[in-house]
Amino acid sequence: MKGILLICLAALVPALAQRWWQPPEAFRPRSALTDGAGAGERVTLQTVRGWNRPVLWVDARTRAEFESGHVPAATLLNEDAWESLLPEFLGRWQPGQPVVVYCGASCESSRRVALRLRLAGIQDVHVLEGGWDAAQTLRP
Amino acid sequence: MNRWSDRIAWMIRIALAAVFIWAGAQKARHPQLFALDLEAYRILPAGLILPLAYYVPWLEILAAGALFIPVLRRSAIAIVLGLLVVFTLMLALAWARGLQIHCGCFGAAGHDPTDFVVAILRNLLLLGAAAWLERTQLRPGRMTNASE
Repeated sequence: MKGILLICLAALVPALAQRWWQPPEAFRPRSALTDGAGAGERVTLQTVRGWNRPVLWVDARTRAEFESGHVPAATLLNEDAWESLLPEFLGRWQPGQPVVVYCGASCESSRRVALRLRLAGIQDVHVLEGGWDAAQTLRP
Repeated sequence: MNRWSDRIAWMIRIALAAVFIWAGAQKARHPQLFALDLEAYRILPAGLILPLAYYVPWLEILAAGALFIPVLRRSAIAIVLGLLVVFTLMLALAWARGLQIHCGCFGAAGHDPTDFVVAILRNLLLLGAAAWLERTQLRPGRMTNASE
């Protein structure tokens, strides 16, 4: 029992050090809805439409899904080909421009892509509530 | 027979340690991505997600290392067993609820939705190995051999 306690307590040391060294600044809880200040994770299409500034849409689905239909001017960026797709994204993103990521209606990949972008230093990144189902209304 | 048993125990310890160190290190590289994976199970309270995402990887790594420290071996096996039971229950719950998520088993090393049958079978194999260590190698009469 003492040994279990010792190992559990010892694990606290590097965990707390890492928490201090790498604070979770990029993480947004699932429940956080984007408000006027744009601090949350999820954002509705209605909110995006209310922003009076150009948005960079990111499609986090597979290439096949992207090629069968996507939001106009959206860029493909998913974890399958992160390294090869990121330069194209960076070439199109303007500093300060908000980014909205979408994937399938119930998928998790848009949240992972959004977090990876925030880890890369792009803070104004959101996830579209309703995913591709909601985004389809933006198609011409 | 005992010599064979001890050799098998060594191999199991090395295999368990390798899996836990690899899994822990991958999670510790990107604790915030691991937090997303934990959150996707929709089991844990929101306030626990980040603390666990920073803590669990290091617990895995330290428990794996302690498998090779004779005085801590029994405790390390208990922690490994406990973690495997919890991980397996979480996988089973997610599978039963039909979630299409990345299990986070090896941190950011994978990102496709998990095949829960494969992940649960893998965990059951590891659980069996850890339970065998606990049952056969750490019985009071064998503590000397097991601590070599």
